[in-house]
Amino acid sequence: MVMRASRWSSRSATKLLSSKENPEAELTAPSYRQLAADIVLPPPPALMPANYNERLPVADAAFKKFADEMKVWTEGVRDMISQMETIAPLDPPEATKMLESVRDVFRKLAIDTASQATREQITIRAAQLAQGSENPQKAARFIRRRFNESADAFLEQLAKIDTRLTTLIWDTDPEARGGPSFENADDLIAYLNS
Amino acid sequence: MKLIASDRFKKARAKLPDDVRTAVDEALRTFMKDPRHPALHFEKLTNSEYRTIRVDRKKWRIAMRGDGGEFELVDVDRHDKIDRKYG
Repeated sequence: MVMRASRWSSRSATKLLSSKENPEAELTAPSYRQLAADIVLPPPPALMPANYNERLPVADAAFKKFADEMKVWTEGVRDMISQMETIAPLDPPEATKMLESVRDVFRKLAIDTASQATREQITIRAAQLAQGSENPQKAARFIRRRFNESADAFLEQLAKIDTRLTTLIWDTDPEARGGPSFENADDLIAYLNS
Repeated sequence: MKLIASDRFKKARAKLPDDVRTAVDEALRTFMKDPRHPALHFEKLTNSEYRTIRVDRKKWRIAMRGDGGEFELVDVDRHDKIDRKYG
């Protein structure tokens, strides 16, 4: 599931954007770049306690694979947003539609990642990895917690990306700029209530 | 003092609970009278064109942009979301 997201973001987004790119366009929102740089990838999984040493190589390899997949996925989306930031100011109505369709796909993938099925897979995988340990139940609980922590950290990054996409959409949306002006608070509030 | 009401702000305000909407209106009245009123905590977000004022002491803020005597109302949301969106 995670790899599917990565392939989508690196290939479809490039195709989606290539016809719209304008190398001479200037970014109007430099803060987006800074925000992109602020995305922190989930930390590498911590080593397991010494009393689980016999399962350490297996569990550690599984953690690493999980973290690597998340890293590929996140970098793919970050790259996509970087391209979006370049084209977003060019053609507001078109860019807004494009960004909205990207966000729809992104949200579906994010929901898949956060789904109950993923949590159940984590539980099953943790139980498998704990087999052979001195205390399988305790080991499974520990491994499951580590996996869930990694998944939660990843979901936090997804939330940041979703917020950024939403902001990009709003900044390309003509509704977000301009409007009637008021010098009297009562008139303003009456308009807002209308 | 002149305030521009964008559609985004109007929609965001319309979604608020009644008590928060009332507080937003009160903050706007205060802002139009005295933008530097201490209760508003009028401030510029770091590295951003946006400024914010407090709606209440808890969590709600109004985001706006502009300078001098004219500001465009952009959004109203919880302060952490305002920081993430516009900061």
